[in-house]
Amino acid sequence: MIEGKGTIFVVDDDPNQRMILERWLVREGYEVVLLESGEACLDALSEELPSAICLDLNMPGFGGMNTLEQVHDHNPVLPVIVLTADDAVNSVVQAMRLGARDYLTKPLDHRKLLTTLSNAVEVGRLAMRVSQLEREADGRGYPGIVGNSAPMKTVFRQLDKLCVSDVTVLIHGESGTGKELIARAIHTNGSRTRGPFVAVNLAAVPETLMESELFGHEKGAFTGAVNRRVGRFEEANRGTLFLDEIGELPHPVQVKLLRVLQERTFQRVGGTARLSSDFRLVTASHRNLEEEVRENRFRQDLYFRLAVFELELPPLRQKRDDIPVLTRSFIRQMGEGRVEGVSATALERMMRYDWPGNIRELQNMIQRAVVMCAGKEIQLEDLPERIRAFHKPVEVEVEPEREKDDETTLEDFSRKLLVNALTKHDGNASAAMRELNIGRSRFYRMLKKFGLEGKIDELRKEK
Amino acid sequence: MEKHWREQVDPFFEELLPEFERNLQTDSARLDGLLQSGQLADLGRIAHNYKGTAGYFGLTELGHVALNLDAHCKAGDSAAAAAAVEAWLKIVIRVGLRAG
Repeated sequence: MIEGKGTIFVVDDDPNQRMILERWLVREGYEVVLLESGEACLDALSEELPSAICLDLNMPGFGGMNTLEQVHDHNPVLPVIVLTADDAVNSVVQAMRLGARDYLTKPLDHRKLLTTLSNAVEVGRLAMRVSQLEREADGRGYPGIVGNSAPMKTVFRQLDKLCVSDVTVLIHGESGTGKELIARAIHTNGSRTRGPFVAVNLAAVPETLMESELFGHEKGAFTGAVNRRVGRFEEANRGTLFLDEIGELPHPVQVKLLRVLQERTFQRVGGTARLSSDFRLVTASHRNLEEEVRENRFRQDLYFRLAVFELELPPLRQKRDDIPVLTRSFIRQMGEGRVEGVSATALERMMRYDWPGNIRELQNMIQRAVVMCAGKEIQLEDLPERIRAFHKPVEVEVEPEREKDDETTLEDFSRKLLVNALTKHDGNASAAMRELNIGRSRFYRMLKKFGLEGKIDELRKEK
Repeated sequence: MEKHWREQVDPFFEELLPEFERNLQTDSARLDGLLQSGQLADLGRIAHNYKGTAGYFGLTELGHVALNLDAHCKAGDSAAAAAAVEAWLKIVIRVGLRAG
């Protein structure tokens, strides 16, 4: 996401103009994503949130003005600088009314562009911060998500960015880490907050009913289908669909989900009409989905579609610093005014414990301890035996070692997928993109990230 | 004025010149066909783009011609557009684009 000076989307149908802007902006330290139409811009926005957009007004097809309107519908604080070859007052006024941050006339003045852009990026950052503070002030914020530890600060920073975009999110985390709470926070604080939040735990849906649950069914579609039933995709129209335990999705349904994500249309079981739904998709899994792909249990193309933005929720044992604040929060909720805190000895033992059930286990334990507690403070004897008897010494978590390994594995894995797809199609980038089911901008950013820019030419020459 | 146009290009854009020349060659080759088939909107689009970028590559005269061509196409004036296309092609021949 946004690092350093930020990522700029350059949207212009003129290849020369794109080339010039890329040259200027890259030299200034911006990451640049080049897009040749409004449609491509909206497509890329579903994958990545830039710091600002330089948008040509006069483009064929969807056009600059429509693109501007759509961008601001989804993200009112994202700065857009409109580029126009003629300073026709009407167009400029209309663009400013639609939320353009500024406008520049072509031929562009290099210095003016950089100053305008730098201001826009800064204003965008501040606007994002203000919108976050407003959310907190009006009680939206991230209710129930508590923590001051370094891993949680990272989660909050990621949430701030996710709430002002519409990207598809994949949440990783062990059982009990609060994946649904995070999905709900993304919905509540995003532009779809007025729409429904529809949550489905796929692990709890019998395999035979999975399709009907997700896509709905027509009356008489199968034995027992006595009425038409609306599926979860339809229910989530204009809102957010949260699919928990996505790793449990049976293979045939994976194929159907992929098609829905590609086409945004689907059919009810037993129906013939193609239905459409405008939803944001958030999924979660406690499984390692890369591993599932390697083992051919999960489709690689679906994984790429789901993992546009991956959010990692740390287990409680990796953020022990949050145990006191979580404990206080749970006591406030469940202490019935009678119990006000926890003794130092009890807290010290809780800090040592590994919490395999994570925050949910802590919450349940506090609920139990409140019942057991005779005074105002939870004492050591109010804790369950497994926690009292736990004698693992407190360690400074050396998380990087294992995480680094995982990260390396993931990067290696993604790189390998790219190389395989390119090799299979003799360096044909479009075919490789189709194979991996990813967008053009993401494909080229991955090539750059893995130092594979020369691979296409190399393979073509070999051919 | 355009005699040594490559030497006039900002060094910052020198690396981009080959691609610009390739694009200009491709687009210039389309102008007459678009004019003959009356596709003034597409013709105007090409002109519109070059009026904004030709100057960066030292082709200021081409930028002016593109500006006029864009205006004639918008006005639906085929005769004036034909004259502007001719002026455009003369510039392109004169400056001698390098084959991509």
